Amino acid sequence: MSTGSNLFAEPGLQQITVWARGVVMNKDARDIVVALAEAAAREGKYVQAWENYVDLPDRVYVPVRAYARISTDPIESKYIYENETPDIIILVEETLVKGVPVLRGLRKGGVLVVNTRRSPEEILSFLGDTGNLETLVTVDASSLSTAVTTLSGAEGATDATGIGAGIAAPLAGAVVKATGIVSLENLAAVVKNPEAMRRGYELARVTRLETKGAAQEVAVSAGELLKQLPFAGTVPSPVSENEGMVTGNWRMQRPVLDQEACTSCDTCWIYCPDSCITRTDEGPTFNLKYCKGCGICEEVCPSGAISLVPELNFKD
Amino acid sequence: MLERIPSIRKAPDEEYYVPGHRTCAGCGPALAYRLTAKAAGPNTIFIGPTGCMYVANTSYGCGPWRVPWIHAQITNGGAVASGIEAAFKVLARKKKYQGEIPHVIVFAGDGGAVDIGLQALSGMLYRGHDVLFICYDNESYANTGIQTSPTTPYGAWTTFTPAGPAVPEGKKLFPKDNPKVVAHGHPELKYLATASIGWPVDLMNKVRKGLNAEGPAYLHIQAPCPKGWQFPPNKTIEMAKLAVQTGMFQLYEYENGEYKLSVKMEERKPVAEYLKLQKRFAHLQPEHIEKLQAFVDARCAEVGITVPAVASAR
Repeated sequence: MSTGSNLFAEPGLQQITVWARGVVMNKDARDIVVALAEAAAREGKYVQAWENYVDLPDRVYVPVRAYARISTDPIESKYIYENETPDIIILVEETLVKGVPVLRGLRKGGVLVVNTRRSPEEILSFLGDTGNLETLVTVDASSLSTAVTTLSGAEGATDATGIGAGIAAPLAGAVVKATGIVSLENLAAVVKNPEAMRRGYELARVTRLETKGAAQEVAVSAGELLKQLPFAGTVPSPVSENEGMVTGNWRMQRPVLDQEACTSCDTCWIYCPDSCITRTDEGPTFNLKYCKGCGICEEVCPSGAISLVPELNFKD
Repeated sequence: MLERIPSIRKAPDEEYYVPGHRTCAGCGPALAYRLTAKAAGPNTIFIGPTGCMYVANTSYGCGPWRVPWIHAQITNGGAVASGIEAAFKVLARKKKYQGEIPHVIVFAGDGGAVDIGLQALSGMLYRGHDVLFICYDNESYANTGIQTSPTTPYGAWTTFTPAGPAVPEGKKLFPKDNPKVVAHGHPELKYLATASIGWPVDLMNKVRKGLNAEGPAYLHIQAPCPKGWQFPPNKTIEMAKLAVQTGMFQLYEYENGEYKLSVKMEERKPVAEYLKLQKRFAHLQPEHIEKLQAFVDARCAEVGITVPAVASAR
C-alpha cells in the first residue's frame, strides 16, 4: 500500500534523507542525521534519526540511506518506515547523482546537498528532470575532513567514535547554510569537529533553481516492495545476468582498458567476483551494468593495462 | 568425471554464478562461489545455508545462480544436502530418474560449517553422502555486522571482541581448525582439502576432485572479507595471497593421514606483514603479534611447512 504524501501532511515536519555508500561512508551518513536531530532537539523540536533497514546489512559501496525527521509538533508519522517525501536530501558522495533515484518524492521547495568539487551545472547535468528541486548546494566536504570508516555504532553495536568527526560535520554545516534548519551554535555543540562544520558552512555554494513544479514520483515504499516478493517457493534462475539486482550504480570508479598494454593473460577475468569481465580476442570487456568498481582488476593486472577513472567523468 | 583445469587460460568460459548480486564490492566469498560454480558446471545443485552467500545473493526474491539453489537454515546445510543426495539415489534405483546424478554442493560460511552448522556437516560426512561440503571462511559472522566466529583469528577486532583496556588484543581465543575436526573423525570421508581465492586454478581443481570423489568431500576455502577485515575492496586478492604466504592459512590436501602441500614456498613472510594491512588488527601490540606468530609457526610445522618466517628486505 502506498502511503502517499498525506501521512506526512504535518505542517511543522521536515524530512531529511541522506544517501551514502555502504560500509565506507555508512558512519558519516548516520552521523549527519544524528547530528541534525540532536541539534534540533536542543531547540525543543521533536526529532527522529534512523538508518533504512531495507539497505542493511550494508555492503561495500551499496547505496544506503539514513533518515531524520525534525518537527515543531509531535511527529504523527513516526511509525512510517521510510521518508517517502523528503524536504532535504544529502549525498555523502557525488556519484550517487548517477543512476540512483535520489530525488524521488522530493517535496516542493526541496534542497539537495552534494559533497563534490564539481560545479553545480555539472551535477545538474546528471540529475535530469529535477522536478521540485529548488536549491542545490555543492560543497567539497572531503577536502575539509576525512570519512570515518568504522563498524563502531553499526547495526546496534556501541558507537565509540563520537558523532561528526568525519565528513558528516561539514555536510551538516552546508545543510544549515541552505536551510537554517538548526542554529550553527547548536550543531557545533553536537559534532566532534565543529571547525570542519563551520568551514563546510562557509564554503557551501548555494544555487537557487527554477522549480519545474512537476511533482516527483513517490518512492516505492517498503510495504510495496514486500508485496512484490514471492513468499517462499521458487523463482526462475537467470540466464546470463540477474536483472533483479542491477549493481552498476554502486560504482564510483570505472575500469578502463589500455589495449596496447594488455597481454590477454586473463588474470583480471579470473579474479572478478562479479563475473563482470568477458575475455575476447581484444582483451577483457567490462560489464558496466553490474560492475561495482571494486578495482580488483586494476590491482591484479600484471601489465598495468587497467586504470580506474572517476565515474562522473563519463556521461553514459 | 570432471577434468583437471591446467591454467587460467584453459578455465571454462561459462559462468553459472552470474552478475547481479548484493555482495560487497571486492567480496572474497562471491569470487569463491563463482569459481566453484565454474568448476562444477551445469549439472549442479547448491545448498545455501544462512550467511552472506544466502542473504546478499538472494536480496530480493531473486538470485544469481544459473543452476538450482536452495536455502537451508544455518544449522542444517549438511542435512538438507543429505536428503537431496539420498532422494536422487532412490529415484535412480527405482528408475524414476534416469539422468546423470547432479553434483550436490553445500556452500556454507564459517558459521554454517564450523559453528552452528557443524553437527549437520558431521552427520552428513559420517553417513557417507556423496556431497561436496564447502566452507567459505571469511572469519566472522559478516552478514549480521561482523561478530566473532570460531574461525576469527586470535587478536582480531569484531563487534563481539572489541579491543579495549580490559582485553587489549580483542579476540583472546585461538581459532577452531575445522579441516582437522573433519579429518580425524569421519571414516567415510573421501576427500579433504583447503583452498584460497588467491590460487583460483588450484581452487577449481580441488572442487573438481571433491566432486569426482565417490562419497563425502570437504573443502575449506579462505575468502577475505573487505567489510569485516577492514581493508580496501581492491586488496581482496592480495590479502588471500598474504594469508598463505605468511602461513596464517595453509593450502593442502589431506590424504591417507598425510598433508600434501599445494604451494611450494621458499620462505614465509612474518604474520605482521599480513596484519598491518587490516584494520581489524590495528590495535595489536608486539607481544600479541609474537603470540600469533608462534601459533602460526606451530601449525605450519604440523602440516609440513618447514620454511621459516623471514622479514622481507626493505
